[in-house]
Amino acid sequence: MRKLFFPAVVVTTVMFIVVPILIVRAPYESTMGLVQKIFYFHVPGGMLLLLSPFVCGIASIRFLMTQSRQADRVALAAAELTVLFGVLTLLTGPLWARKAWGVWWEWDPRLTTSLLTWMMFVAYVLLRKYGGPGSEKLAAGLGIFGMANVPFVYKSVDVWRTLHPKTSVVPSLPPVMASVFWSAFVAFCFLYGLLLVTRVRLERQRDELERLYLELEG
Amino acid sequence: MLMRTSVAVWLLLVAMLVVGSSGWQAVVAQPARQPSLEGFVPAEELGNAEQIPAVPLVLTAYGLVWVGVLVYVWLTWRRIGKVETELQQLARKTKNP
Repeated sequence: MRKLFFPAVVVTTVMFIVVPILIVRAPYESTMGLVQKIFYFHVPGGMLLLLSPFVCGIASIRFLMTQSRQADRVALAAAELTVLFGVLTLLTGPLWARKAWGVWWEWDPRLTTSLLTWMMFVAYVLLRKYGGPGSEKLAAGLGIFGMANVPFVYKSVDVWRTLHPKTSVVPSLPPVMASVFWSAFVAFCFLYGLLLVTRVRLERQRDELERLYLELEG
Repeated sequence: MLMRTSVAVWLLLVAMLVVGSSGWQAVVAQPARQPSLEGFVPAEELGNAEQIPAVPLVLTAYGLVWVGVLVYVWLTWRRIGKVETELQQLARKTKNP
């Protein structure tokens, strides 16, 4: 894993230099114009906001079934990253909406369910920070609940009447825009992977520190 | 009979003339097209002040993404540094109690 870490850092850095150039060169969307370019960062961020709860939920199930400390570390790291990507998505979305819809925020099903998912993972992180001993099991339940909520967020635009663009937008992109979008998505996935590995490492070190303190006292 | 028909034709012609001239007057008297005060207003009729500029919104969005990621990386880096320092101090303590 350590051998792969530095090449991954290099690849991610290169991608985050190249992708903005690709975005600038991408053609303007005919109806929205320049503001549509927010889409290239907003949507990959949103996709990770929906994928990260699965990492957290699956790790939480594994933790509850096997009591694996590593699974708990992964769940905590993924919950924290859900909060990060949630912040990025929920802040960049209104900037696009201001131009496209004329308002910063609308209590639309997609926006509301995304906000609720983000709040669930904020609750997870707060529970882990201030919940005291045993909070990891409660938090695991919350992580599973957060994961179960994701399909509703994803399908909300197709099921309910909504202002938000539907799930069919990405598959119907013209090839030039699609290549830029998927490059940005891959760059975000690399970033997510790196942050997850780093965050898990931090938790492992904290566990080691706790073990040493207990050894010293005992 | 012929007299009645010619009177009827004359009356019809006069009526057509009156109706036609009033229609023409209505067209001529129509006020110039004004932008409506409520309801639909075509985008090209809006002043510059009514339009939201896209550049600041796009730049703010990208700025927020970069700042958000960099702040998170910096916070994680700082937390790792703190834990590593504490680990080293503890390792020294266990070596030289």
